[in-house]
Amino acid sequence: MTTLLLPPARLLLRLLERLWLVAVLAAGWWFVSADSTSVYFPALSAIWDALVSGITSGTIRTDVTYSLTNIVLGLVLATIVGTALGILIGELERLRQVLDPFLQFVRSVPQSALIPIVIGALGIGQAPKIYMIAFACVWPVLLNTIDGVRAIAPEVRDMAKAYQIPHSLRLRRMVLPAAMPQIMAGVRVSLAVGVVVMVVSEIFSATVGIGHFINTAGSVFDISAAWAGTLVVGALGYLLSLAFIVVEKAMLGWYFKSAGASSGGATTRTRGKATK
Amino acid sequence: MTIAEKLYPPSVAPNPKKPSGRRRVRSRKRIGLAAWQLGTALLIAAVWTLVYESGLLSRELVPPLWDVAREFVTLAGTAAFWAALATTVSNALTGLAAGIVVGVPFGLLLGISQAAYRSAQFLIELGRSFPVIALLPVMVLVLGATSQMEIVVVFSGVLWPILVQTIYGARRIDPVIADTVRGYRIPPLLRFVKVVLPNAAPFAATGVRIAASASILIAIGVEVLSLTPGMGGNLARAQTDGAPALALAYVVYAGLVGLAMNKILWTVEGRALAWNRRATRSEP
Repeated sequence: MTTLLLPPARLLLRLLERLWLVAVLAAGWWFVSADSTSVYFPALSAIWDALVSGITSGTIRTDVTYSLTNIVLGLVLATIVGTALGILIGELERLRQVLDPFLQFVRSVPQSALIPIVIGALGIGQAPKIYMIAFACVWPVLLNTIDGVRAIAPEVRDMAKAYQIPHSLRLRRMVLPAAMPQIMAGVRVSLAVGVVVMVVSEIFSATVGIGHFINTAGSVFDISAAWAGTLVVGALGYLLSLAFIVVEKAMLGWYFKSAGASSGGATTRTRGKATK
Repeated sequence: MTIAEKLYPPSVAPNPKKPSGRRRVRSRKRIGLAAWQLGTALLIAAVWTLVYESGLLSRELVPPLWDVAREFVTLAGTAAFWAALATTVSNALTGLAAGIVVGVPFGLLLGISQAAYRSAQFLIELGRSFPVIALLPVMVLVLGATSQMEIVVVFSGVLWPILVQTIYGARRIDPVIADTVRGYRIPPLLRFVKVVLPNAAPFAATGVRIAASASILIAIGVEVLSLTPGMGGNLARAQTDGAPALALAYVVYAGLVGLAMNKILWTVEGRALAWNRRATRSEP
């Protein structure tokens, strides 16, 4: 964040500092595995070749598009449903108390345990996978939204009541913005959950998708391709979390700017500046 | 904003606030609440049965509740079930222990040294966003569908929350304390023991709690996919054998295990860090 403000030389140094370890590790992997004869740990160059051929002539591009569609749709669905229900439950304290044990239980259920049941019942198509991702992702959003709504200061609520702010306006201008940081925190957790469910659902049973790519490569003992697919999933996970940061900045720019909004982050940042 | 804060905001944790009031009023309220909750449970059961009877959703997805309940009770009487449960939990805990042994010291190290932290940051971000379950097909080939393989996958998953939280806790020191330490020229070892460790402990504990629930989730996920012996393996087999009620009973048990794990860790964490609880809770 602050790196952008530094002079070019500093910036370069920062970039080097951040990247050297990964570069050294990758280079180490490349050279150590160069003349690997192990079936299970092929040379990185072989993995790279498998990756390139998978992208240019293989199915990786279709697989990634399929997986990305599933997770984006699933996550969007979960965010909409989770936020709406979360605001409702958060606003109605009595309802929240009644539902609390049920919510605690459902969110403790391992989502990947449901995958065999859902896919076994609904088939291996795309829609069950999207529902599955949405179902797994809805809980963190829902629980965080509830917490966010409940954390609105009583004074603010009193104010809204005193001025008789109409319901829809109150929801749009007070409740939703106030809960937004917490909602985004929930979406972030959901993103990680969703990626796992996406991969698991495709490994479990699918005809396309990056998880399916890894699984087929593994089952025909094309280990290089399996490793290549695994690396693609890693890159996908990383890029998705980067994309999330962009979305989060767009949604919460005002929040990060407001001083003291994130006291923990703010102190670490200033400390980082002071000690450099 | 640091990575730890972004991934695991402090307020994600459930808020154990209880309404206060006079005892009699509270107990009456509590009975009312229990009645409402019972009603909700009945409502869910009714909707479930209605969906089953109408055939709106596949009956494999919504088996009769009564069957699930029966399987749930029957399971508890079989030794095989308890063995599967023990396998899953012990694999998850072994992976978790390995994650703590590696994650906490590395986290402290990276938390102390700015240069080390900046060097490792990118690597940690990569590792953290990597869905470990994707390693599974490769791991099954390398290690087979064994408990060993399961432990390795659990370890590679739980390492990150522990590491990230510990780093965050070790780095996050009140500027006033930092200045005091510098002003009095406190030697590094003393600073580590008296300032860094107590600061990092509650955050590391939170990391362990997050990791503990993740460990069960990963263990069951691994078992479901690779049919490794354990609750997940039994669940997936029940599904392929066409016994959805048994599979759902396993899901309920899996949820209960997760819930119990969370409760135990909350209690342990609260006891061990009682001196700090109020301070961390009041953090926004």
